[in-house]
Amino acid sequence: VTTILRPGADDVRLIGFYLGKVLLGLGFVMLLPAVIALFAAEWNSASAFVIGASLCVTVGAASDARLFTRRQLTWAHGMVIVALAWLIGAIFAAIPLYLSGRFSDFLSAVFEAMSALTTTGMSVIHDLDHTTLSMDFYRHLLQFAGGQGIVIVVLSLFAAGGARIATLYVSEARDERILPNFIRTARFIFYVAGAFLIVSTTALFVSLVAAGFTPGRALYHAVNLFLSSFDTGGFSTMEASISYYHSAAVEVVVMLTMIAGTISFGLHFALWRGDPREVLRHLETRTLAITSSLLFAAVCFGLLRSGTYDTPEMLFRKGFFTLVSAVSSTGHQVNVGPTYLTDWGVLAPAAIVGAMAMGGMASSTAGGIKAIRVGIAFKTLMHDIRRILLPEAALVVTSYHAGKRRILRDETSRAATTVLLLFVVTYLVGAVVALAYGEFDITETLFESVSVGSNIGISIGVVSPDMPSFLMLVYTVQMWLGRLEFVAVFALLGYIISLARGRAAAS
Amino acid sequence: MPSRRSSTWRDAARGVSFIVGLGLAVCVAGLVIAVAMTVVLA
Repeated sequence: VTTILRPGADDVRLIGFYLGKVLLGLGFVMLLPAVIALFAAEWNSASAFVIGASLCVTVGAASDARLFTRRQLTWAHGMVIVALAWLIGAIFAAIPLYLSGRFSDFLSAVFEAMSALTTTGMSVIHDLDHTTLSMDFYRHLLQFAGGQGIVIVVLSLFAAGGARIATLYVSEARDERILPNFIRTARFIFYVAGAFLIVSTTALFVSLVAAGFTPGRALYHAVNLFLSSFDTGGFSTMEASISYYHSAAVEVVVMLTMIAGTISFGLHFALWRGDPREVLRHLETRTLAITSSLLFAAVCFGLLRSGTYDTPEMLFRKGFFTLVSAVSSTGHQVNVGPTYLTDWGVLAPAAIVGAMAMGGMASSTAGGIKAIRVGIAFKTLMHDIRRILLPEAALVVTSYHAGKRRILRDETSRAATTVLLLFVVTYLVGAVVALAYGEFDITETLFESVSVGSNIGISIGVVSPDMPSFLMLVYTVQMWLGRLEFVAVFALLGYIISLARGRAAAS
Repeated sequence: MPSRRSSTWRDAARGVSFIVGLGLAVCVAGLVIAVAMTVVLA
């Protein structure tokens, strides 16, 4: 029997203090679109942002003043803060969205905010094409904040936390203090994002001007496209998503930006340090390259069989773009949603669902099961097969390359397959709940549920402004669980249980 | 994450070219397999 200790008032105070800091940050995020709204004379939007920012800053400042503590943050606190930050953040971030009047109710605004902060990209906004510039920019900025936020959390908290958490997150445990690590990590992440911002936005700007956009409009679209592509979010300024632009150049730049976004920051670091061989040997790179190639082969074969596109150019522009959008967990679309199931035959959409379920690399903004877990699950399978085939006395050792040569340990295998299984269960639960409404068939609900649970955002139409409230709530939870890869949510649940049932610590 | 030396354009170019290479490799490999599947299953 294990005894769990009940967290004290100090622990709750510490969590509240840091959540206040998150809200302060969110308040400042709202000020940027507020400035744009003032310049564009969008007074209603401006007031919505000012109200939202005021609430965030008031609550944040109050907790800063009332809950101030010098106590050291541990990774257990950090996990609980992260789980709550995405929940409370979505609720506060929803305030300006709700005040815009473009959402059916507050839950829809929370869904949109959660979709943004988890870099999913599903949208339930009414009449996106005619929303204000500042409100649209705010949606994209939220994706950027949520995306960069999760990478910092993953690198400084999940990876640096206790050995058990790190194993669950398929990374090596590092026993470092969180804060210094956090600041260094944040600096490097913004460094990489800044470089891609310049390269990608410039390329998009040129492509859009070449496509006939005025310079001002091209700049606005280029910035928003960068924010939603690099952070593998998938929001779009137009309802038609990327197909609105009818530009192969825009599609290619967006594709490359999505690939950049799905590469783990650990590998970005290795690349920038001039070590591409390390990147090529990494289990995650190999898994992602091999599975993406096979899935693209399935997409091509399926599309060729169904005869949907008759030129190689269209096969590439539709098939490869959608595959990259799915595997990177971005969710940009070059097709009208339902046509993925009605016009693409059977095999191609199945491959897209597979790509969405797997997702990109860990320690990036990509969602889904993650290539590293798929790679480790495959290695585990090979390990078990070898153990069966070899004599009982033989010592079977399986290794893989991730930063250095590593021996496959049982805990790593178990953690990877457990999270993989949890993702599959989440996909199925979402699909079954949607199925219960009787409006959609299993292929539609499964497609949408995988897209939501993996934080992708490609929609075949189940998600809409008028969807049932309970289903919207289930999808919101799925996005939250998928983004935090269950790790932080388990920590939160454990914390709640120990608050209720734990034994008070002896003082 | 260890601290690193100051960035250069060469670092960024290496990152971008790797991404282009990875994208192209996946695309070409997928196409080759798809063509092979078409031939085998014809």
